[in-house]
Amino acid sequence: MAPLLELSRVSVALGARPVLTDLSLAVERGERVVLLGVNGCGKTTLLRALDGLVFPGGGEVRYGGERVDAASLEAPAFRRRFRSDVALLFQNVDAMLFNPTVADEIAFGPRQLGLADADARVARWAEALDVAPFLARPPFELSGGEKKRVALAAVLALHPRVLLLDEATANLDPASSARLVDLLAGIDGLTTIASTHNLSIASELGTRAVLLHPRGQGILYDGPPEGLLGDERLLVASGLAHSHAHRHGGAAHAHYHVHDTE
Amino acid sequence: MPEPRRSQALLAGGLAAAFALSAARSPAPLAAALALAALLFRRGIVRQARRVARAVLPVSLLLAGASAAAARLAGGAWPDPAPYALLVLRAVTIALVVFSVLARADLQRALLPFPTASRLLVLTLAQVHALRLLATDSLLGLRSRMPRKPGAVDLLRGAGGITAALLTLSLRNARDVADAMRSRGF
Repeated sequence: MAPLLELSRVSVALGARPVLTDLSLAVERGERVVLLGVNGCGKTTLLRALDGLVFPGGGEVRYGGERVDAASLEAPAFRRRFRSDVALLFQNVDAMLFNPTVADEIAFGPRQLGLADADARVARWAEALDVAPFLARPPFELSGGEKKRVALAAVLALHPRVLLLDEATANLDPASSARLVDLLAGIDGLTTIASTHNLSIASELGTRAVLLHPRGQGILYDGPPEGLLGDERLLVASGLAHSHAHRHGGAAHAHYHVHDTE
Repeated sequence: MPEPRRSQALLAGGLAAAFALSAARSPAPLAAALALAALLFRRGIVRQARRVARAVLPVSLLLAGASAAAARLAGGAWPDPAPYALLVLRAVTIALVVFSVLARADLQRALLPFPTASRLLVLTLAQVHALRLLATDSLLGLRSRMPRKPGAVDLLRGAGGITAALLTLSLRNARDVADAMRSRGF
């Protein structure tokens, strides 16, 4: 059986700048992948390519064995299936909030797909993400963390098979991050690809870690998160950790050090 | 009248009044409209008048003055001030009516039956909200790096950079919104 999502030798350039070069990745049904890499390494572009928002200049993206490109997304049947199956939580959640009320925001996707149970989905996911008290409020008036929860409710209301999360835990306090991880873990059969540069949460977001080259030139590591977190040399080479001097008591020495930037 | 009819009627009335006032060619109908607006919208009229005095009157006076100066340079004599005074009075009257209507109408509820217009309104409000936050932050950033309170010259100097940042942010936001809508099946 073909992988659920597959990138074959994908290259993407934004303008004249190459962002991803010759990158291949296959994701199976139900896998929990955490996508790691420094800022600017192409995590967002990769997720957008998987969501059919950016089309590669070279190589191809496939969903369930079917090619995802501008032409295939013009076909109504495939577009409808793809848009309901694959959902993306944007890093800039403000971009996702364009409806008059939180309730309308959550219902937007299901209504676009003509689903009859849009209101029931709103109630379910507003409750699950603890945004029910804001249902009548305009989303742009909410705080950063509240907006993130509304945006997540809006994509989960599509009941996707694949959820792409772009820096999902950024701007969330530790308790909200933990709740998000628990919530995602509790959805059976969901395939997730979550990007982050926060190593401390990597092993909670996925059971498979994929580390991108700092300039998007392929994959430096693909395996269990524990294997990556224990590989000091690779973490330093990828820019996720670096070595610098510390002073402990009176003694100065240098050792590698992870900086979470969230 | 129940919502959204009430807000829709107010907006339609305000729009019609603004159009009618834009065609006024003498001070009398404008003065009458000002008096009528003061009567109809007497609750909060002082606050709206202050807003007009702060936001509209200086720009109108500046534009009228610049136009008169340009005419003086071109023609050699100062032009008759009456048409310029009429321009300013017209702008002030329209602004007072529009501000008073907007203060009473619930725009979002008025547009709820029209999903596309409603979404456009939300996007506009969200953009205004984001840009205001950025402008405020930029001003605070300027203030935090100066030993004294920034003056008009400092603000003007910083305005170029801030405007460029605002435009870039707007453009990026617009692209992201379009992608987010496509991603959810729009």
